[in-house]
Amino acid sequence: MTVLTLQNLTYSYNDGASQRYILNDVSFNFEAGKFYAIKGPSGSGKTTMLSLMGALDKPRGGAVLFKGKSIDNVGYEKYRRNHVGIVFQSYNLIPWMTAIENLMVAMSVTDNDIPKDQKNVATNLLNYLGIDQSKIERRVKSLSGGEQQRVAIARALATNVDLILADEPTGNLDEETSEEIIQIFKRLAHEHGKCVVVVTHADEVALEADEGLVLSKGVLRRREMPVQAAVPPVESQPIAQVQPPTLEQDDPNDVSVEHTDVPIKF
Amino acid sequence: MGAVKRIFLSILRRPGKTIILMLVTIIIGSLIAGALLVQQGVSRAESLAKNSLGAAVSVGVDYEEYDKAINAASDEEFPEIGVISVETIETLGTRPEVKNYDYSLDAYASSATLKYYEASTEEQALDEQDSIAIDESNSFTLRGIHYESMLAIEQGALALNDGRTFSKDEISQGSEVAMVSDKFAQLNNLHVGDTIALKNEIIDYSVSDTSFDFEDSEDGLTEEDTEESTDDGLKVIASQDVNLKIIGLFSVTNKGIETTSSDSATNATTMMINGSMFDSEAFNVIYTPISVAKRELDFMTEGYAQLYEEEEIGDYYNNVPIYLLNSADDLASFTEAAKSVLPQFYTVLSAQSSYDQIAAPMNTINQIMTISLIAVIIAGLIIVSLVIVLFLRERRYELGIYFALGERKSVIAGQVIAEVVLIALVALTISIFTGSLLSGALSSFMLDAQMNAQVSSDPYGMAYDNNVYGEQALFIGNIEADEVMSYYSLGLSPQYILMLFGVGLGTVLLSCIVPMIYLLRLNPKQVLM
Ligand SMILES: Nc1ncnc2c1ncn2[C@@H]1O[C@H](COP(=O)(O)OP(=O)(O)O)[C@@H](O)[C@H]1O
Ligand SMILES: [Mg+2]
Repeated sequence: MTVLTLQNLTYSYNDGASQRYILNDVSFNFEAGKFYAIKGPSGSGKTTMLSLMGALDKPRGGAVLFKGKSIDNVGYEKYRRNHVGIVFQSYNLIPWMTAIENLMVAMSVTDNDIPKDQKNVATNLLNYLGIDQSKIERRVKSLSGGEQQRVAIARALATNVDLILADEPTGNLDEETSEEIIQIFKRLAHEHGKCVVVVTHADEVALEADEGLVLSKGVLRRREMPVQAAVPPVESQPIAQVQPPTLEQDDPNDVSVEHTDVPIKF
Repeated sequence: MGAVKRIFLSILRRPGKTIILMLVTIIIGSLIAGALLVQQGVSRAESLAKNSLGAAVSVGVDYEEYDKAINAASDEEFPEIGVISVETIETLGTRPEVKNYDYSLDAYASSATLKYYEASTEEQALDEQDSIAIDESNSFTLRGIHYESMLAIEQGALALNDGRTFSKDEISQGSEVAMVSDKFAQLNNLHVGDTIALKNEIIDYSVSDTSFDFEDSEDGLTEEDTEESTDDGLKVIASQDVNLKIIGLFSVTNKGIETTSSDSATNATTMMINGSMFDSEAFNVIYTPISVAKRELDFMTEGYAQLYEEEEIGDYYNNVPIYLLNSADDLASFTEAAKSVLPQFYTVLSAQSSYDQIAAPMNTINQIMTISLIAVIIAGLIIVSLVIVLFLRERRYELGIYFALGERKSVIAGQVIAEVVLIALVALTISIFTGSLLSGALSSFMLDAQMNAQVSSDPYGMAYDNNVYGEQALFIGNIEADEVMSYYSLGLSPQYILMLFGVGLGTVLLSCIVPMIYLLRLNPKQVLM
């Protein structure tokens, strides 16, 4: 199912008298249950594109459709609070709040149905993402980068949305932590059916994705799958054939795939 | 984590910011409170001073108006000041604003035996009485009054000491009864029940002891002793005995003395008119029912009219009405009503007009406070706006997050304003007290400065000139600047607290305008990505 559609998207900045085009007639469909990685050189417009997908900015031309409906019609604020979760490179948590409070802010804002025992849901979600009980009630500024990013992802999920956007989510994290975060995204797509779009310039991330995209010179293209994937780089390749790597069971922060009873889906 | 909980968490979890904003608001709030308190003290002093003057008013000639009319008139048609009739006085007396009223008529009678009480030199006077041979008769004012209980007593200018006041019957029948001051009675060894004997004499001042033939004497002046010489050799052409039974003694209260005391600015004026006798006059007035005084005045005016062959006698009447209004607030409506009834050039005389003349220092303080208040509010607007904007800049990530999470802009703005208002409420509550500390220091400084300014600009206290004197002054009263200032006090009142919160919150809310513009223009993409 197509969750998000980019339709002839155009974006430009005023560069003195002339216009500098960052996105030039970009069209693409993002499907549910898939983990997308968008690569591109620095300054190619990845963040700009993600901000349009997250309704943090308006395109100059074209449209962003959520499940077939233009987000102009949905309403930007409404779209943000009910349909999309955004994860940032710099986490962007409210520093004087605890981890659980950060989640509950999002839960209070959304119009989506949230179970009454918000605290419980938030706790389970944080546990699922590897934040243990002792850290849940701590101010987030006392958490490590990796932990903060897990909280940020939990917040994106807390409103029970189908679309997760992430801009360089591992940009500030070490390799090991990055890998763990990537695995989380993968699981969200494959086990929970989310449409996950991650912008990155790291090859490791791109290699894990179901679909690799490259943004360059204002144009978004599919990328040939790397050889390691051992699958032909065909556009119509079914998602089911892409096998996610198994999680390392000895990582205490990671919850095993078997924990499907965790109520991530409300 | 709804917006309400976020408001409280934000205030409590970031105590540094909360305290800074609170301190700033306390400083501004205290300054506002101080200025408001001083202003309130001033207006309270004004109303207390006005109340102390009472709600007694009189009517009299508005000489300013009259002067204007004279200046505007041609030589032939000289404007005339009419006479207030008894009917007019009584018509006004039935106005709903009037609680009680009285009018009086002054006649004069003399006595060779009754001594005149000198108030200012009491001891001396008694000594002199023995040493100086009394070879001249003393003249006394016979003040006829209409209101039996005596407004002067009800108003506290006089106090009943012994005996009683008049009865309604005595007033209406014109009984020959009198009330005199205790000092006067003591000096003349008089008691309640005694009768004093005076003479109402028509004297021809134009002739001396030499023979004078008064031919018309038989038709008008019927009384005995038609031709007689006074001790100083003046010709008495008619005389009438006035025998009055003393029914009561009164003392002149401080209030009565105050209004006639020689160091008051009023008396600077009145003394020039009445001479130095004025000081003691209050002690020597003989009060009688109005018809007694009228009879004596009629006798006198008729006598002099015949003597000088004049026709008009009405002009000698000098009714002085005093109206005691229900409250000082009734003055405006009473004045309005009186306008249509009073003859030309007459106006309502009240102490409030005298008050307005000496209210200058209070007005100055009021103005300084108003200017300070405006300055504080403007400075407060700028400072609080700046502080909030700086704090919002620091909070831009948090605000951006609310935006990114899809929170409504109105809710985000409301959260910020509510935080500021909550802090301001606490700060303003503290300002109630810090402000009153400040106003204490402020007002003693201001009052000193204003008193000094007042004294140096008017060292003899002569600047104030009102036209209320004599009998009217006794009732209506006068007030001076230092007296008004003595009523000045500071106190927390509900109005003050309401005003403080109104002005303080108003300032803080207006200070949110610029921060709100910043907030609504905030670009979450730039902040977060
Ligand atoms: N507010 C802006 N005004 C002008 N140019 C901008 C602005 N923001 C970004 N750019 C430019 O747009 C291009 C794309 O930026 P961005 O989307 O952040 O790229 P990426 O995330 O791929 O590094 C860059 O060249 C950047 O300099
Ligand atoms: Mg970027």
